[in-house]
Amino acid sequence: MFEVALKALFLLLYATFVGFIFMGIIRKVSARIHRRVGPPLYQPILDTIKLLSKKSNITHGLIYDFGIIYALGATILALFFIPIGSVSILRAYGDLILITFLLEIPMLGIMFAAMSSGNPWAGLGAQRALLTLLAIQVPLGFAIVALAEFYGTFSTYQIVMAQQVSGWSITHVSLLLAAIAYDIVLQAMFGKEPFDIMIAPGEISLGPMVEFGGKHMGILQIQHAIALFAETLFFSNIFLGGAVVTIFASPVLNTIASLGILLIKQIAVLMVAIFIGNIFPRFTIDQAAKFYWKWPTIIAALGAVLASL
Amino acid sequence: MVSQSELVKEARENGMELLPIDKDTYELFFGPQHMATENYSIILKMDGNRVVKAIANPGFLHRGFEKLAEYRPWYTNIALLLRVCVPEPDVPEVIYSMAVEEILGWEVPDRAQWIRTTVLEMARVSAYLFWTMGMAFKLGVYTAGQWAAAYRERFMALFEQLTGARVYHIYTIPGGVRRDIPSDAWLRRLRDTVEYIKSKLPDFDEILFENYITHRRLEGIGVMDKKFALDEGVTGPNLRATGVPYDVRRVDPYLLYPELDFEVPVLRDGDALARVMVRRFEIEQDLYILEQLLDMGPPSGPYKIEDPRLKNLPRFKVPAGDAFAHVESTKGDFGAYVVSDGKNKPYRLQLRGPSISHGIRVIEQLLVGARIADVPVILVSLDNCPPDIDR
Repeated sequence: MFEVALKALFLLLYATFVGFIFMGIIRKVSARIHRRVGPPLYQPILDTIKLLSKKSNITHGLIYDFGIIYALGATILALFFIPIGSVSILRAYGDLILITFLLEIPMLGIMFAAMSSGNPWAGLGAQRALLTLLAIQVPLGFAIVALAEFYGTFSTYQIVMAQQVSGWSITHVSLLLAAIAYDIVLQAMFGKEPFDIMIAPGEISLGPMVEFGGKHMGILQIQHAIALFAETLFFSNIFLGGAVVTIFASPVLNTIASLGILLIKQIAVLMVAIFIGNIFPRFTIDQAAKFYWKWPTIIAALGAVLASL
Repeated sequence: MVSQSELVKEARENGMELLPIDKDTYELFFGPQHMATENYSIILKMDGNRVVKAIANPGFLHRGFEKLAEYRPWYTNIALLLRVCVPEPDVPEVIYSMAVEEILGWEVPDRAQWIRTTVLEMARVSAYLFWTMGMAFKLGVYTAGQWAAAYRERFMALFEQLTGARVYHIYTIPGGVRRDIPSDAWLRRLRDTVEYIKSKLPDFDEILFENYITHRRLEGIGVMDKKFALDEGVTGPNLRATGVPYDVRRVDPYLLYPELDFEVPVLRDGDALARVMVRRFEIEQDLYILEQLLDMGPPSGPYKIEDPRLKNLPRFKVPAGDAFAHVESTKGDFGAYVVSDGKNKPYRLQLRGPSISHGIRVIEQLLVGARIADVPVILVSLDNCPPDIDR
């Protein structure tokens, strides 16, 4: 029991740190695309420390505080269900639907907090975020169905193991289609253009985030870091073959090797998101909903049909 | 300390309504701290995602230039007036100088004319690049914005070499300009910059102006027709996007423009996309004009008028009379009306900023029915410049 708790703590620290570095990578790579130098990789960590050390802290009631903790908790729980090589704590229960669901819960938590602040901009942002959440469900659902049909299981760990035998998911046509649809959905989950509609700095001045400051924002930064880590990890696990390394005799070396392989895959997923995010303008919310219910849905549905044949 | 219930009771007794009066709509203060509006606010009555009513609320930047100018000598006013238009501060300098020269009946030397035309065109390109940055940031494609800002910076460096300041260069004075062109190296550098930006325009097309999402975002929003635009006094690219080929450089030529060959881009649709594309074509035309000016080369001669009265500038007197001068700025027709009563200070000075038409009445009518995401886009597509309105 103690060992599991220790493992969980290690995993959490690792995910937070890597998540912050991912945020740094996003800023650095975006800066290079803009032909700027950009901040150092550890800049988001400094930002978060600064936010957490603010003296005045405005709160708008119980739900305002609770929503943020709720978002953080859900993200951490999602992280524990996703297999990380062979380290994961709850991987035996790592159900595809459960993880997908848990990765969306944080958005709801942020919405709770934003709505309780009573700010009309936050309300607009919440409205947009909920519509985005609604729009991405359809292609996401089809992508999950395609995976489940192909591998005949909902367990993420079994899917990873199956990929060790039959090659990465994206080498099969049906699952490649599902991966493309999922990658478009991932753009909205990361909050990158063209689907960063819920944040939209130039339009609704950060939307839900408009009222958060100090420790609330600091916790949200940590949540965002862990969510980045969890989302890229989930994608690498189900589509890019995950990493189960057994070549070394020592389990420690195996763990480090699998973490390294996963890290490379996660950064690859992240890079695609950054490159797309930097060259496209933002959709409006109705256009985004229309888009999600059209192309990604068609692609994912095609994948699901091909997988079930 | 009165408790809340007592306050409510007192209010009810006096027949006051404490609940929100309008329960169907809510009010958004699209205020001066919002990232899309610069020191300018619009009060929006919203029904869900759509605007029901928009009330423009300018005046945050009213610095009272027109009154202040009445207490300053003729030449000192230059340093004051250029602060009216932030993105292209050369325009107020030039129109004020042109109006004062008209009252004085001065003929500006050829070299000064060439320098003024070049400076105006450089200001136009840098203002358009500045606008591109604003548009890109509102649309969320930050890459194009950063690039535009970086290219504008090249012009700023050139301005710094020529005038000594990056943005507010107190350069054009009645009777010429304050300094000569530093060297031939400056001209070569200007040509390099023009060629460089010309070679980078396709990048902007790809990422911003011809992007699928940009077209989806801008098509059919904020539509104005020709009659509406003419009635409301809209000028500049906004008017040309509705199909009226009105350009001050053609209609009422000034400086060297009659000798230059350029086209005035005109589009018919009158929506935000047309306004954006007109501006995109104008960047190209302005770069072409700059190339022609460089081919022409600065004529030799003095760069300002030599007049014995200029020895004592604070006592410099302009004969009684009035004059109006206007130029084509990137926002539209920018005019100055100067009245002199023969003293060493202007009697009255009126500036007509182009944003006064499309920043207040036009925006109020164009925003009705727009989605909240379209509001900043329409605002930037009109190229609203709050200091023009407030002065």
